[in-house]
Amino acid sequence: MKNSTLTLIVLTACFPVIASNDESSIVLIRTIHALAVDDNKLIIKSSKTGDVELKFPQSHQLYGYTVKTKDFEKSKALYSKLGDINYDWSHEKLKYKLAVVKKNLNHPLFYSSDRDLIELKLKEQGKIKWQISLNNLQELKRYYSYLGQWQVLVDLIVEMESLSLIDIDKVKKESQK
Amino acid sequence: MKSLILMISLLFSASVNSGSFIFAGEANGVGIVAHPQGYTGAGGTLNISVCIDPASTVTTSLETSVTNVVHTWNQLLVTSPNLFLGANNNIGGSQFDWESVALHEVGHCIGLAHPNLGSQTGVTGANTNYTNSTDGVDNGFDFGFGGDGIRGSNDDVRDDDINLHWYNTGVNNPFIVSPPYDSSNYSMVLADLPGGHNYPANADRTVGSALGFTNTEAVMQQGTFNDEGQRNLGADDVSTLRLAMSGVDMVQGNADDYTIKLFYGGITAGCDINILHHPIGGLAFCQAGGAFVGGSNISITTASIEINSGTNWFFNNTGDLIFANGFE
Repeated sequence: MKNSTLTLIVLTACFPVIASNDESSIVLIRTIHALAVDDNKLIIKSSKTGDVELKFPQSHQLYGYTVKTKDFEKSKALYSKLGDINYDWSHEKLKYKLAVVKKNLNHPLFYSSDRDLIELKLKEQGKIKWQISLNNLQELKRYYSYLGQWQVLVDLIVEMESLSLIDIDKVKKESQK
Repeated sequence: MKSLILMISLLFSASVNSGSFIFAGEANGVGIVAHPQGYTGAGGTLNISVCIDPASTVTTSLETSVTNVVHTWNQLLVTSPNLFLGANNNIGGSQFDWESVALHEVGHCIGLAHPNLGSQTGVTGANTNYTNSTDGVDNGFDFGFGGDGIRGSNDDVRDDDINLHWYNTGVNNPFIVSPPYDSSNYSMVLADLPGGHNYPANADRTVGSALGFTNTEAVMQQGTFNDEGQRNLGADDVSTLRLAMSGVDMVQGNADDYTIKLFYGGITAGCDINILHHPIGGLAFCQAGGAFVGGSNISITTASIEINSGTNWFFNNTGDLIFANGFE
């Protein structure tokens, strides 16, 4: 098993480097419950400077790699959403919101076996400014159009996870250089 | 060279145990029984197509596994042991078996839930091995593994956690099977447990070892390891599905009973169960819609499976040794 640190620089847009507090970051952790192994977490960190750091669970082809990329465009898109986050939001309030939505709709029953724990944390100056956890991402996607202001939360999670959907073969080739 | 070992044993006993159904819980009702697509409450054969979505990142590599999964669910044969680890399988040491995971996810998409707690909110680590339940009126799971120290066994103390696991009233052993698979033999009520038992046991491998069934676990148990093949059903998987097949009245042998026949529909879209192999965040999941068909019965209306193409998969290319020639 590889145990190396790969720095993969991917410039997807020509944005000037904006001097900013590089201790501001968004962190997403998905605990994959289907994996009965010690290392079952996908960890994604996106900094305000565009730095992205990825660590994969034991099941992944890139397990053992610490992948670092740079994506100014996505970072800008992510941080632009933070202005719509209500820092009073909590897991309980989200649960209540969804219950109200479902009660008012006459939709078919919905089931998803994806109940992975997803933790989303906003850090500033290295400290957690706000965090939320949930285990019903697929359900939130299902009722997305009814979530109102909560839609930004789903957007953030989906955007963060998309950072981990990278070209595996490219990463492996780069690591052999 | 690793060899695939396939052993089948049918154990006859006076009792049988069963599992849990999707949609069951505090929201829809703890007594929910879920049925595959096409069940309306009338008896007959449910023909269910299983296909590989052509948008998958790989397609032909999955065909043998999907065909095997179809055969396995159609045959409903109990296998013990059904866990093959290390040198006893054809899987690479760091790899995860695609066929085993697909077998599990198809199980969800035809109505079966985890017999263990699995990924319920707040439950982590070894506590996921406790038997599937709600968290009760105190809104918190209660855990006590009893004198044997084994989570998921019959001496667990669970306070007000409401059981979601169908078990046989005679023995409460999820590793043995015997008909009839209906409400005359099955219950969710704790008062129907055998004397000395506190809670329904689930088909976790540690419980199995304690009961004399080594390397045996329900396919529907949540939790997969690398270098592990689990391509055959356990008693709990078979009896749970057969319980549903006794129909809305939960009486085996009358007009509302049904059988299921899965068939592989090819690399195409628009099937009853579509399998999409592509990049996602997790490992794999089934997603389903449902509608009530009478009482506490829900019939699945739509079903799809997504499996992470980024995982270090082993794709089995060996057909079922017994069923490859169309045994069904």
